[in-house]
Amino acid sequence: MIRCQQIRISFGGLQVLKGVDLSVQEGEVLGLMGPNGAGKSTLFNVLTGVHSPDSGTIFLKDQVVRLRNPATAAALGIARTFQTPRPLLGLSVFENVAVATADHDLAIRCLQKVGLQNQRDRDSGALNLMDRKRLEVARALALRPKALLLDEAMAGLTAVEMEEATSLICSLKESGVAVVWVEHVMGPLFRTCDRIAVLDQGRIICDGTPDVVSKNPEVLRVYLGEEF
Amino acid sequence: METVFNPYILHVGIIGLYYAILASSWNVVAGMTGFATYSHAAFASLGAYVSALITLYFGLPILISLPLAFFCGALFGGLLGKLSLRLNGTYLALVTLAFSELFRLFLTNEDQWTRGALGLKVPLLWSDSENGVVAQKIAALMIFGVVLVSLMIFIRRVRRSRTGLHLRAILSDELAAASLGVQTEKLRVWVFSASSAVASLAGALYGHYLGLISPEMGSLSQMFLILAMTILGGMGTWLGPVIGALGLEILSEGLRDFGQHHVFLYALVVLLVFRWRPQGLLGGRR
Ligand SMILES: Nc1ncnc2c1ncn2[C@@H]1O[C@H](COP(=O)(O)OP(=O)(O)OP(=O)(O)O)[C@@H](O)[C@H]1O
Ligand SMILES: [Mg+2]
Repeated sequence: MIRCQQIRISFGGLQVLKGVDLSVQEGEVLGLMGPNGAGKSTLFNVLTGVHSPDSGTIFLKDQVVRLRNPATAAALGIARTFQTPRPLLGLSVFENVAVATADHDLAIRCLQKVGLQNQRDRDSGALNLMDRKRLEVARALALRPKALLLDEAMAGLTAVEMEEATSLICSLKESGVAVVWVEHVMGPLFRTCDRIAVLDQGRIICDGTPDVVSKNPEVLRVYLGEEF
Repeated sequence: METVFNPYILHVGIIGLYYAILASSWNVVAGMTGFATYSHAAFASLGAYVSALITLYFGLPILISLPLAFFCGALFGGLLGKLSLRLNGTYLALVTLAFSELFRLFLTNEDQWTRGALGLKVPLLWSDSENGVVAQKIAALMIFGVVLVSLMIFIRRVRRSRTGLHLRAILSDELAAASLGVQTEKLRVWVFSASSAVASLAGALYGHYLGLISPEMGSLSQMFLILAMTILGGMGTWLGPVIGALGLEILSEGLRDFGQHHVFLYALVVLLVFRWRPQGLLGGRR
């Protein structure tokens, strides 16, 4: 569904992505992990037209796409959540979702999906962190995405909430969305993903099934001492 | 009856409406969309000069020069929006301020067509003496009133539309809005263009009402007056800028009798309003 090839980008001499290849099929959930500063969020920014890469190509359904700005990406069906939620303050929860879609019923369904329907008329600034993350997901879903990029949806959630979030991601998978899911919390990631890619210092060092990745020596080196 | 139809009071009303149009249209860019520009007075001046030159040198009627002034404002406003696409905050302020000052300096130093700082005599809305002064002023008041009311209705309709929701989204967080599919760049150019067009139309009308224009129409002190009126009335609110503009204009005229204390009293009233209502008179409402 979405694929990128040899993406490179640097900021003022600092090379953040050094030739990243990645692909996700429809109905596939790809986990993307990597230590802090590896370039995960930057890759999302490239895939959503926030930054244009210095070089490299992005394909959507095997067509080369040029993402001039985030709105282009959204219109093409590439939706994302932000690592630090960015609710549109001053807009109600419902209005936040309505920005993404003119379809009232769809907006309501998206709110129900993440469990925010009872708070639809609250100012989005009044939401706590957990609900802000839910709102991020609801808004992204309202774009009816072909590809959904989730940037740390689980950090700070309780075990029960993580279960809910995991089943939500599984239901997306069934509806044929291609999901790229960045997460530091590894339990749910390894249980849910079809495939996992590991980004380290701007390079993909491993890309395979959870099983393969968990035994890869280079991944073990990067995550030395951490439990899988 | 005599007091209401006194030419002086009518004049104050007309000038108040002129500023209300400028403040309301500036509020659309600055208060409702979040791009604080400093070129709005310059666009009023642009409109005034475009309309003046067209009537003076091409002999076209005001009824044709007004839409052309509006169109020029739209064109240059859109262009400025496009050129400043990647700029926000202080940078946007500096660029629009520079544009505004360059235009004013150009007018001041150009003396072949616009007579520079001396000012330019402009055809009046009505050739003199036909009806009395009072009748002419009432007619002018109605014209400015119709423009203001149409503008206010238009703004209200836009705010309640999807575009209005998108503008509020941009005001809140441009990047988040864009990532939800809001065409932030297109809307920005559109809003710059529409708002500048209205300023140019108001400026053109103002010129034909006064019969004399000068480069000072687009000076920064005019810009800051528009800014003060908008903030005083309530930035981002629908009716606030109108209240702020009419209020400050009437206040400033009313205090004229106090002679040299007038500026002091004026500042005092403005400070007191901000002391009690930091959000502006209508702040917090929409
Ligand atoms: N716009 C930018 N300008 C300059 N440097 C940037 C920019 N965006 C990202 N970087 C740098 O790129 C590197 C990678 O950042 P990025 O946010 O992509 O990491 P990450 O993998 O998402 O990390 P984390 O797990 O902490 O979220 C960091 O060193 C960061 O400082
Ligand atoms: Mg990140």
